[in-house]
Amino acid sequence: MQFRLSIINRKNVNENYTDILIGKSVSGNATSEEIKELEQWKLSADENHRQFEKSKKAWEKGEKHIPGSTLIYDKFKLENEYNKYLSGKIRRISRQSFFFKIAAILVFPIALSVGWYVFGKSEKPVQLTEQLYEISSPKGHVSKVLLPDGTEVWINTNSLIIYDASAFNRNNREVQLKGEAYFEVTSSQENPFTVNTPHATVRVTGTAFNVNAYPSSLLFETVLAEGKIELQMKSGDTEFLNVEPNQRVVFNSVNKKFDIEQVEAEIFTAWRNGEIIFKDATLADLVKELERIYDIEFHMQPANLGQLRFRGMFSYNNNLIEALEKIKRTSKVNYYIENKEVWLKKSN
Amino acid sequence: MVNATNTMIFQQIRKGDEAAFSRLFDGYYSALCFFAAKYLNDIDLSRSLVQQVFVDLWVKREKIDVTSSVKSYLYRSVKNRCIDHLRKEKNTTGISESVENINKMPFRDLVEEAELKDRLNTAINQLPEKCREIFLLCRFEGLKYAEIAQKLNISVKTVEMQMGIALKKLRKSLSDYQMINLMVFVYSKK
Repeated sequence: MQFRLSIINRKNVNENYTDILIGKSVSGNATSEEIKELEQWKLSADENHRQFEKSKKAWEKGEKHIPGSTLIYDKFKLENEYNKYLSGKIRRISRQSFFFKIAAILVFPIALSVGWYVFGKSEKPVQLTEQLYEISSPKGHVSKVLLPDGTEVWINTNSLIIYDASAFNRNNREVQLKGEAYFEVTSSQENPFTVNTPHATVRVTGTAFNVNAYPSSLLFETVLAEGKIELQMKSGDTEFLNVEPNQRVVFNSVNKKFDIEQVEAEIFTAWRNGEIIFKDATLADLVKELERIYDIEFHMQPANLGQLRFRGMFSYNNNLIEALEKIKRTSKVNYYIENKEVWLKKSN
Repeated sequence: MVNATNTMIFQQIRKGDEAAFSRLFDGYYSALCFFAAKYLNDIDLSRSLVQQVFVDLWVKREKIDVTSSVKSYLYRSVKNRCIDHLRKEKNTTGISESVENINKMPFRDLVEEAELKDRLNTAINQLPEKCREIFLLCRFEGLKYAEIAQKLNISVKTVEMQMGIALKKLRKSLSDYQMINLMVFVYSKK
């Protein structure tokens, strides 16, 4: 019994030994003696020769490699692309459903008055129930919504608005915003339109403006494209603020201070057309935006690469690779993707 | 048999069956990447290109008429896209020559080579973690055994051992392929 065991062991040792030799030989790590030894072994049996040739082929044909994690990432990305295609469809559907909404809005008062007529002498006034609508844009997408009053809202990626359709019907135009949205508000002097965010409220009568108020951010930001808006901070010394076109107001909820600067409003509102425009921004700014859109982490090597100045226009409709190729083409920055993360490297 | 399931999977995709599309992707994606890399010599670019082929297939699924097999449809689509891409970037001179060389090879051989590389790639991904790390450093980073040992803080003996194991496993993944190759050879001889 013991004798047999030792034979098996020796056989294993021998097999391992030739495998080690083969490995050394094909990878170019063998000494000339080892190569000679392997030649002897190859000649001693056809099977040995075949074994070596197969190993060599495995080494040579495995010239390119795609890690398993990359394959998973690629499939995930494809689903993203497919979702983008789907969201195009959804947008079409939601436009249809808007007509249903109009119909519902028209039908509701009719039903109400019929009800009033039939059950006429009711003592209590009829309570209008809340009809809350929540409309969101998933990561990487921009959605456009028409509110019951005709106001158009573009909802940026990873953002949502909530509004009460029945309140709109009672001329109470109020929207909650989490994230970033661009509003083109239909004019109505008597019924102001309000956008509520955690740090500030924007009140307007008819105008076009952008609001950026992601829940995770300590900043509230608004850019006015046209018209006039009134800003009400929820904390700090300055309670009301009138904003002029092409002004950008950034309110910092930590130190309760705000900055007003003159800007080109278009740069801040281009995203609604699926574009992001960068004019003299740093690579770090750009990366922040790409991280948000594609929900993927970026790394930069060296770290100060982020200070690189950059200008250009990116489209949401581009896939990530196209965006990265664009960076590569316009600056000396190379990229590679590993484990669902993007590495940007300075190329020489 | 293979063709029958192939046409079935495509009919399912036409009806918008995501699971069928997902199976198609799993079955062909990486091999198609290796196939594209033969033309483009850039695996990341190949990945991006093959993805576009899959997105196109899905978006246009109702309009696409696959007369032969899904497999040959996919390979031909990828080939066309690669050549389009190279044409657009023809400022680099060496490339057209290499495409001519590739075109001299029978299409079937190119597909088989891609499948072989895919099988090897899968085998590499399935290596035990330490073993894979060592193999990747050796094969793709071009490090010598001693350098790998130093980098990973292990003995050269361990590197030798793991490289032996790696090659043995990869070699085994080739067995089926060689059988097919042999059969094709015997068949064509008759």
